[in-house]
Amino acid sequence: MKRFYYFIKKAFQNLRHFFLINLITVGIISLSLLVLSTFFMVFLNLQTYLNKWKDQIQVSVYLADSNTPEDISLIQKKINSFPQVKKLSLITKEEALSFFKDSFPGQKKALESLKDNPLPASMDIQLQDEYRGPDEVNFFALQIKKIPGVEDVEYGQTWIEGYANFLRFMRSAALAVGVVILLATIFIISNTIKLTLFARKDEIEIMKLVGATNFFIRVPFFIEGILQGLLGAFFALIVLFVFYQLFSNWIAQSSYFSLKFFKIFFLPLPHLLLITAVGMITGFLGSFFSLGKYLKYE
Amino acid sequence: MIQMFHVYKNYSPKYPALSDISLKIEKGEFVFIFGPSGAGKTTLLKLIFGAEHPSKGQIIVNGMNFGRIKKSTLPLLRRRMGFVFQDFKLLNHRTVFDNVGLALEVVGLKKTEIKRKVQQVLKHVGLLSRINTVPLVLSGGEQQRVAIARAIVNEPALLLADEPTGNLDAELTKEIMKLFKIINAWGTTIVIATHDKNLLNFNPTKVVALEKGKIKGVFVAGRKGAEEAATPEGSIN
Repeated sequence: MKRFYYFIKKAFQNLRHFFLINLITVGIISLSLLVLSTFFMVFLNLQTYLNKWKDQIQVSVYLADSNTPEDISLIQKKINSFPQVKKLSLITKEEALSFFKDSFPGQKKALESLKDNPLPASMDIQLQDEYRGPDEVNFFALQIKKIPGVEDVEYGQTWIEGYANFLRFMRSAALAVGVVILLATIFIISNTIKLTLFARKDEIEIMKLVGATNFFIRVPFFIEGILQGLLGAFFALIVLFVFYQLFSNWIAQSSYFSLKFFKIFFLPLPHLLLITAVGMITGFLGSFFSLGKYLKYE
Repeated sequence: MIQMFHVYKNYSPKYPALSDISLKIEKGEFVFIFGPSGAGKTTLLKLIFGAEHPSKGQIIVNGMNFGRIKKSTLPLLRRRMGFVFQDFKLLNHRTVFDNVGLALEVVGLKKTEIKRKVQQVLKHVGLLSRINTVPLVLSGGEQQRVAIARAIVNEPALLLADEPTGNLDAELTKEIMKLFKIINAWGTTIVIATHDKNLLNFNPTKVVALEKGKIKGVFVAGRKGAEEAATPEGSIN
């Protein structure tokens, strides 16, 4: 414990002694993490926005005209027993016709000339959140179609598939870009720390001369790397928050009507912790790999 | 203290840095490794200090066979040795106290003990008044005395010095050599590598003359004969 306290003290002492070089390192780490966290924030906002479309997914079940009111009630019961169903609304033939008449008043005459009501009875089904994926909707529709008395099931298949494809594409693209940015961040941070260590190779050499073990030399450097990462993440998130506030204000005051309803949110806590962890881990790994090179020499 | 048996060191097969070095240095001796630049003096010191490993042969320092020790034991052995270099190798952004205390921090001594020992050793080398100064504002001789203080603060059995007066004028050289003599009088074995024949006037107990990686001869003080002819001047007094 006493040793650990010594190492922490030493790390802080080194941060102070090499103030300028550490300031530059922390600055570069901050910039790298700012790019990463901005990307995270844009991606998360976009994803949430796209997920809102999902809420509008609805399945329409059209019933055969041959169904008696008892049959319809039985079908309704059967469908309601599916765990996927959140809400079911029945639209009788009469209701459908009246809705049609209200929606298309120009067609009133044409409809009146018909002997029978050509519109089928139907049910509009809202699904539970977890069953709104394209595969789940498709599976549900197939099962409903099998129920006797059901003539057709519609759920905007093409739209859902297009949306799912877009979401898949966006996720893959985001993953690829995210990985590239993350690797670039790790590369930049570890190289910056490597340069810092290069400037201090004499110190490492002298410590070895006086009989310091590799452990004794390493630990303060590791702590320093972690602290640099922590400080870098802290400043990056502060700058991101300032940008976020400015952007939110700009949107709120925007004269574009559609933008006013577009609310962006800041990174949630788990993501803030993740960015901080990325900073600290890369700071540690940067020191770890760069130091190895200097400790090889005896 | 130091024994070398048929030691070879090759960095490239064509130009061996050291060839067939056999040498014995007793406890308490004051030894010069003497020879021109490129003779292999620094390589010889590096072998004693464990910074290099021999290509062939055996080296025993303080009873430990350097060919057989584990890498992790090397720092522990170094704590029983002191080193002084021509370029001082001081941490210029740290105070004199920090520089000297580093050797004690490494051992894990308490803060109060470090303070006491550093003050004591700085008093010995005449730099107590400069304890809170950074090395860059000190003269060359003072910087070398700081390096010596760091080398002896652990009371090592062996002190190695590579051209310790190479950057100093005649007056400061005399001062530093006097200090080495005092440390030697305390019982510390001292091995100094130098190309400066003037240093041979400081009464070493032994002079090992090196040339092109080979021992040309060993002069032992107070002994006449074949060994004496080995030193370039034939005599050191």
